[in-house]
Amino acid sequence: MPVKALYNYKFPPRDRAEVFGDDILVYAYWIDNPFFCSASAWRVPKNMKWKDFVAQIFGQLYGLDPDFKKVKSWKWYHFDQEFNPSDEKTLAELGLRHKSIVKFKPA
Amino acid sequence: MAKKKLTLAQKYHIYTRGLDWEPTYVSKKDIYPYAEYEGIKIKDWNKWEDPFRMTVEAYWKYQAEKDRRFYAILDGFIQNQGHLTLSDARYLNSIKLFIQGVTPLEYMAHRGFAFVARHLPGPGPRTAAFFQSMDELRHTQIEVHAGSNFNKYYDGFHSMTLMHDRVWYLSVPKSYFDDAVTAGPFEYVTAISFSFEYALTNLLFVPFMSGAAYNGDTPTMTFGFSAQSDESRHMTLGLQVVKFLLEQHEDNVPIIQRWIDKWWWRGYRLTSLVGAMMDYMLPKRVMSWKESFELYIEDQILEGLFRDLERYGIRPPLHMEQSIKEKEFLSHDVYWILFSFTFAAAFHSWIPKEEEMEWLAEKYPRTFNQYYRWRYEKAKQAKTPLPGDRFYYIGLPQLCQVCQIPMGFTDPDDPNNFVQRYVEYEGEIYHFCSDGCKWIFEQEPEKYVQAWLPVHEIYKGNCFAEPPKGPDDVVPQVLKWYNIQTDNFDYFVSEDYKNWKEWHKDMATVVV
Amino acid sequence: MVAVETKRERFVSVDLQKTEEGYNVLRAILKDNPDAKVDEFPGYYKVKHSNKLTIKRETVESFMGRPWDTQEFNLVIISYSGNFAEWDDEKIVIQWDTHM
Ligand SMILES: [Fe+2]
Ligand SMILES: [Fe+2]
Repeated sequence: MPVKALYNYKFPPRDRAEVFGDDILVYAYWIDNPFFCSASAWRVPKNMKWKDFVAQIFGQLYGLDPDFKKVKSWKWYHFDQEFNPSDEKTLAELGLRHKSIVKFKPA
Repeated sequence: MAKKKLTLAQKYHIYTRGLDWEPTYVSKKDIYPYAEYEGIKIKDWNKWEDPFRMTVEAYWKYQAEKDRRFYAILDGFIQNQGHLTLSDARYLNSIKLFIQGVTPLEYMAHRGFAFVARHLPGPGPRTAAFFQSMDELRHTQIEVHAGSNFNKYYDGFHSMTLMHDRVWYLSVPKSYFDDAVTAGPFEYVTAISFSFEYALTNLLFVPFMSGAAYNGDTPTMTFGFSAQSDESRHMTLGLQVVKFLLEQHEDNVPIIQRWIDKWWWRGYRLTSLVGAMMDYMLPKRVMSWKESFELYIEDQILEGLFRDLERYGIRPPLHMEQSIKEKEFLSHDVYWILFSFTFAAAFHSWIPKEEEMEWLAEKYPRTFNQYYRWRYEKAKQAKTPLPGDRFYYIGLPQLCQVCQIPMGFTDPDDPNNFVQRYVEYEGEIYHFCSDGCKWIFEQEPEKYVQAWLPVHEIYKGNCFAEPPKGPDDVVPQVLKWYNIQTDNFDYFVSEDYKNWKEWHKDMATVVV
Repeated sequence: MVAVETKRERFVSVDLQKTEEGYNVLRAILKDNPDAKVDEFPGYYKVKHSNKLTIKRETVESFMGRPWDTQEFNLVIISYSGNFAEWDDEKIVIQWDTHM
């Protein structure tokens, strides 16, 4: 349903992909662990390797959970699709796009 | 022959409708350019009645008296060093949220009602909106005056307007009101007078203000009740306008229903901040969020108001059932968010004391011990390099595109997870905290694609005082841009706490 | 899923400031509406009735010991639930299901 207005109401989305250039926003969410009060948001290069992305989010944030070190391996999802990212691939190669969400839980 | 005294009804008619006139050399359409585009049809503006029958003369008289009473109490509080007799300085963190988040909305309401008072074609509602516009300016003033006394002694009161425009959690109230004032006059009145003031402000201005009284803050209680007494008139305006529109034309019914659906959820999400204030920030508590919700929303609004509106073909708001399902989670979710990000906020938070956790467990027997208590136990172990012996979320959260709150609302059907929804619109993805916010987006995507989301703005480099010198300088530059000085971090490492102990060192009442 | 417990009640109500004037208005309401119930909270009273509350000028005046204009009700009311079905020089009536 369009916005009712006295003129043609159409504006470009404020956070559209092109605004971020070679970077994208990616959200991350630890399934079944509400200790982190919401998914997190990251601005990262599209060409960032998966392993570097994981090192960043775990190193800065998720490692703060005392239970983090107990986890040996993780199961990943892109949106709600299971996926098996390989460490050396880039986010773009893995199919991540601007405002993708990746979810994870102990495997 | 002595002149007969006019009755209230006669006076009201003379001073409202009696002062209106039919234009002769300008068309009505040119005078009221916003009257038709929303699709609302009005046959007869004279059918509108103000039950308060308020005239300008009576308005000045009673408002002046309300102000006199308020300022007498404020002066007494200041002269008696009343701030020292508060239950505990932790209490003031709820008032910081109020001053930063609500007071600027009072000012926006003043502007919004000035617009309505100018643009509604009927003299009755125009007069009522004019009074309300002045009321809202008065509310802004008395709240600023009450807050300025606390500003002499405590953090978090020094920069409310700048913070309201910039700080991440204040984009929640700011974007809410911006959404309302950018609508047409009829939607604005339905949003603010009806959905917000009739249904939701009671939660803020009645049980919360009662809590202020209970914690020794008489100025806040007085401005709260003084403002809410005007609010009674505003509620009446909201109710009368909505009933009037429903009676004027059947085509208005689906439009009003859609606005009620939208603005219930918008207002309810905003009011969730009050839930956190009531359940966690008041050292002495009157009523839980859940109890207030049951009394003021389930009884008064669902059982009262909406049964009254049935005959017009209006049903309760679309996502009301979800609000009811959330009532045992909401305040806990929101305080946990505020707690997690206190390193970047202009208020302090803290781990609830053991007796406070017991109160929470008693009021929320199905949820607090099960889903929330352990987080605070863990927060004591999960330390960060920041001040305060506890956990902070060292990162930025994903925000809801509509309500702009971090996406941390528990799914009552899966209580270890948060609700997450998204849609793709014209090639871009948008995320939402709830079906309610997603539905609102889908009704008017062009509006919400423009949202100024604080997290994304930080990532675009729009929120720094100066360009950060390195990764460790990012948060400090954002805080500087927010004008947050010593206002953040845990209460127990704050200036507020240090001063409070110092001021009470000879008294047995200090809370440690 | 956590079961939702819901208790619902239909009433009209008015929330009054706990002040000297508020107390006199409260006493007048209780006198004229014998089935009304009061809940007390810090700073305010909540007066409820299952379908209707009437506030009469004369009764309020008898408790105040002075003339009282029904518009002075603006100074003691905090909030209400219901409709103002009538508001004239003699009385104020709050109830549901009144229509213009
Ligand atoms: Fe207000
Ligand atoms: Fe939302």
